[in-house]
Amino acid sequence: MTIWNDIVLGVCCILLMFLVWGEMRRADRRRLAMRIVASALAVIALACLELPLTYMRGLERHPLSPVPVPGRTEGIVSVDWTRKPGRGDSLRVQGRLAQGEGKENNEGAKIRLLLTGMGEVLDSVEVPVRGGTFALGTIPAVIGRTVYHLVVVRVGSGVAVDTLEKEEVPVEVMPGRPLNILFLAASPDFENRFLIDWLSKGGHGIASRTRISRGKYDKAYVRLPELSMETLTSSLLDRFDLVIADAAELSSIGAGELSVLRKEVREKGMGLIIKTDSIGKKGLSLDGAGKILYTAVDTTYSQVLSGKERPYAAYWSRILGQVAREAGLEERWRIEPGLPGVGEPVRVWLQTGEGGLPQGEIGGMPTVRKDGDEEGRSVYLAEDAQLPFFWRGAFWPETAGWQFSRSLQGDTSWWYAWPRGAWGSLRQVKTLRVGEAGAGDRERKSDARGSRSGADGPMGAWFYGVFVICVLFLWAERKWKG
Amino acid sequence: MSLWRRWKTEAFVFCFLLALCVSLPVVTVLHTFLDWPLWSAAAVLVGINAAAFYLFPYWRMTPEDAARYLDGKVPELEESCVLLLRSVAELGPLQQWQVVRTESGLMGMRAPHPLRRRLLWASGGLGVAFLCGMGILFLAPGKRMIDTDIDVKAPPFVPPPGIRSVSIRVTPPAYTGRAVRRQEALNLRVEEGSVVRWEVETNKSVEELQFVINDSVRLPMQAANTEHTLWRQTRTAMRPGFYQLDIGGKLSELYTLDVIRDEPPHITIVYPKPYTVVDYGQSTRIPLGVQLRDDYGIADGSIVATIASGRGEAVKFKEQTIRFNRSFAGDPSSVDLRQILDLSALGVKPGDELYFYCRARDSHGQESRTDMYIISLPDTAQLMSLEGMTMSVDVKPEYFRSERQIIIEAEQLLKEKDTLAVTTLNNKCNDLGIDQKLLRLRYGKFLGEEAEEGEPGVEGKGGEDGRRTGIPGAGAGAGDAGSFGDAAKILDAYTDKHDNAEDATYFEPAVKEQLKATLSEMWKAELQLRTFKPREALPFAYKALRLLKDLQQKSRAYVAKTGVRVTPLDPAKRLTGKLDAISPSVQRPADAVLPVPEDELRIALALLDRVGTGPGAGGIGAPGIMILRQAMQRLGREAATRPGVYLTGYQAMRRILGEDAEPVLQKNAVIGARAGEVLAAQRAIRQLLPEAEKTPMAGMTAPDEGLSRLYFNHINDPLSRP
Repeated sequence: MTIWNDIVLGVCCILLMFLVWGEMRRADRRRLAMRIVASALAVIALACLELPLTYMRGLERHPLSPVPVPGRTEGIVSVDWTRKPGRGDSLRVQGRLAQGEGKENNEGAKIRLLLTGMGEVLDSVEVPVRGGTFALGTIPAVIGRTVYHLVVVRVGSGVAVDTLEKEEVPVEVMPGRPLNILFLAASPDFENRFLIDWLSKGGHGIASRTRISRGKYDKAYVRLPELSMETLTSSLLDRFDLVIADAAELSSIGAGELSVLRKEVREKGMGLIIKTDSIGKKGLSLDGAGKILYTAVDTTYSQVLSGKERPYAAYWSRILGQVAREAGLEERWRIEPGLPGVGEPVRVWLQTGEGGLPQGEIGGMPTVRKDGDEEGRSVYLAEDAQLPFFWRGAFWPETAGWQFSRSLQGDTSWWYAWPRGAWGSLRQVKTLRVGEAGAGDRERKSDARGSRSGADGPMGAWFYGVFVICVLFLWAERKWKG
Repeated sequence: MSLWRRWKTEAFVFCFLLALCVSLPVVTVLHTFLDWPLWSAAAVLVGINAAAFYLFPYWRMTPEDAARYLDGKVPELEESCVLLLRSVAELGPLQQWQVVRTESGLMGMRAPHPLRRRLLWASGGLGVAFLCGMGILFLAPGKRMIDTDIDVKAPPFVPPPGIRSVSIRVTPPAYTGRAVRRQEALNLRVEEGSVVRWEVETNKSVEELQFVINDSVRLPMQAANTEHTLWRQTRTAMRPGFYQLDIGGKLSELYTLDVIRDEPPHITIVYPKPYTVVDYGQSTRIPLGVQLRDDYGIADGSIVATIASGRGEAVKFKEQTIRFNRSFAGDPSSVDLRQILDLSALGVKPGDELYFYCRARDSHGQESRTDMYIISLPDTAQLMSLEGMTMSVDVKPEYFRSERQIIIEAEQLLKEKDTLAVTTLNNKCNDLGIDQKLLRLRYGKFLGEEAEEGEPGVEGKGGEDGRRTGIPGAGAGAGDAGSFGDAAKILDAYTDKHDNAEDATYFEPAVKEQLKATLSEMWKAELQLRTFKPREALPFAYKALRLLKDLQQKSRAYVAKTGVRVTPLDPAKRLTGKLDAISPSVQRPADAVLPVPEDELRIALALLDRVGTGPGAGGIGAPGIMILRQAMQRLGREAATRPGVYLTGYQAMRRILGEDAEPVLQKNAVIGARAGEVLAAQRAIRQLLPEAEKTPMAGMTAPDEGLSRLYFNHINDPLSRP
């Protein structure tokens, strides 16, 4: 392409010089300036018609290698992490590090990746100099938004020599929504007792109904008002995300109540854990919108007694989290690209259950108003043609750091904008991929149009018009004289 | 001569320059990349200097060498320079004349500089070396960058405003053996029980100067001069905490008062092992290796050994204290002891065990001891004896004959009395006596009696036994007319004496009394049998048998059958299953506050990230400030007990929240805090927090105006099927 450009430019220059020289040599000096301008315009228009002046100009000016060479790019070339872990979940940072060629000779040198946060190194891993994948992990101590750092250090003979890269890894640890859980038991047991103790320490709401005799129940409440629990009604079950019941208790309650329970699970998505003596049915099953789990394990409390509270918490967190009723979000914001940068376009999607025309507000580095609230910029959203609950818009972050986005009604959702120059190597690789895709596009286009390339569409028409007018003027001027 | 001296100096300087120019880059490299300390530079310099002196021995030149060199270089001297060095007396007249000529030539000549070029070279080399060193330092910035990122450095001590100087005298307690020391900084780290004397000099006269300890207690200082500029206070440091100075109403920063507690001595028994068995043939001299360590000094140490001998119920203990074979004069802080435990000297016989532990007392009087170590010396005498092999095979197995058997045999003996020879009869009778003895010993074991000795005062006790064996009431009634009204005796019959050592076995006192009576009967029977009077022995034997039978029956519960008729239940009243009147309790465990305090600290940790001007900066609303304030209070409480760990964080937190300065945060402004302070506060909070525990979290469904639900509900509708 560049050779073609050079040829076109060269030929046009020679043509221009020849034409100007011709005009100068003419005896008739009238309208000389106009004639020179006209010839120049004509040649320029001709050149522009041949040169590929399209929207790809920016890429043309910086010619790209059509084949991406990630091996040549130094640094982190791909990365991802748990953006919004729950409380107690581990933050895992995984990715791939590529190193330039010719560095393998550096004997004993290694690349060390450090995950730092709050002034402490939380995890580190060593990657050979030629590059490789890495995985770092920690359990965040915070609840809320914080920024960890991923530091790439070159290590020579055991001592850190050079910091190659330092990137921000923003994380928002979600506190989690407290669950409301109903226990139905045919007889008191240790399992329920310990589970209620543990859950109440975690801030969950609990109601427990333990059968003493027919129609007589022992009741306990944590963070819930006293409810009438003698009969299971739909309005009672609506309050709970999860019911943990003995098989014996379920078999002794009336058919009407059982059908209420089933309906609640099937239609409203409530979770149900049934404790049986032996596993006759399989573990977890979907029942309509809800989930039912059968378990025969009833001695997990012994783990608490033997001091293994962490495995106990992990076990029950997983089980209860899987089965509990899923909460419906009011709205959900999605941001693209994955690593938005300052001054780069960010596409935003709003998924909302609200009717009407939502108005988005996005901002970063919020200035605090008197009432302690943040102020952002309005973003106007367009509705998706097929899915009416999808709204899309665009935003250009102005400042680096945490950005919030929300509609007028909804909760605030947070995302992060990186400063210019962050994740340099990763962006470089992405740009190369875009370049590859662009080159592919262009090649496909040029294939379709044969070997011809250049300005087309409305731009081409303009240049064509200028050329024709100029040439006509030059021709008419000569005739006129004669 | 002066020339020679100058050259010699130049030679030294040259060597030194040369050494400097080699050692400079070498030291720079060693220091930057291998973390050698800077003082090693001196060693390297001296080493290379020595090498330079050896390699370039110009400094060894003599005046003759210098003269010879001059002769060679300067023709005007006419090769006679050497003559100048000799004394005038040695020289002949011709030589003297030549000397005068040479001297005049020497005055007129331009002195050559043989080492000038070398000196120039060396100086140039030094310049290059200096540049190299700077280059190396410049090229190796990587390590430094990380260090500065991660570390929060403690700032140097600056006295608070209004204070000209501080002088603190710390007098550690005598047991530490440490000298009195002085310091200028207000942050203190002193031994427990130290007497701390503050002397604070203020810039100008102040009304009052106070200590504020742990944010609560105020302790005024005494003015030492009339101008009120010099203040003193003395206090014994017992508990850790923090304090600040109140200078006429203005509070200073917080300072730590860290107290180093005295550890009890640490004792390690290197050898022998906790349980050692000394087999037959091994030496009974056991080596003992003990290490004693203490933070200040050990005042005393000893071994406490207990020998346990005997077996079964008849174990005897003998305790003795063994001194270590060295003195602890001068309170050494670390002692390695080697000693021999001579088992035979201690009196340990085969079958015995030696239990021992080591104890040590430090100069503060704190004592500690080790676990119990056991050395066992098994009894091999039975294994070694050949008794069973040498004796005849016709030996009956040893067994206890019952009392009944003894009686049967005694009666048999009486029947055969007339047919037997006297000696045989006596022998048989004696054998029976031995059997009786064995039986008595067997029952005696139940009472914890020792095997061999007889029954002291059997006769005297017998009457009492007989009385107490029966029903207590009867015993008390018989023959106690004299003691009527004796409260102690009446009480004695009815009280349960737990603390009586004799009763400390499995049996009740009444059972034991009877058993004792049985034994005394057996003893009497044995006495008769041993004196070859089987007939007289029989009554005692029978009585013993009766008592034994009685005893056996006592351990059985027996209920006689009775013909009681129970009134029938009234079904109209009972077992109706009506539960109307029963109302079960409603339990309401104390509701934990929400969010849990631990979570509040976690939230504070995240909020701190937004303090300052970092990329995550942003506003913290009023609730956020509340949370931060609570975290600060928590840190303050922790700092009072462990100032060394939490005070820096507490102080940083106070500064962030503007506690000491004007309240910036009250206006909800974005706080400008130094990154170091935020890090210090975060670090302190993190130390308070355990690793986050998992909590159940329900999934989230995406909002979709109920479209998915609609689809889900109608998925099975006939219309949706093709």
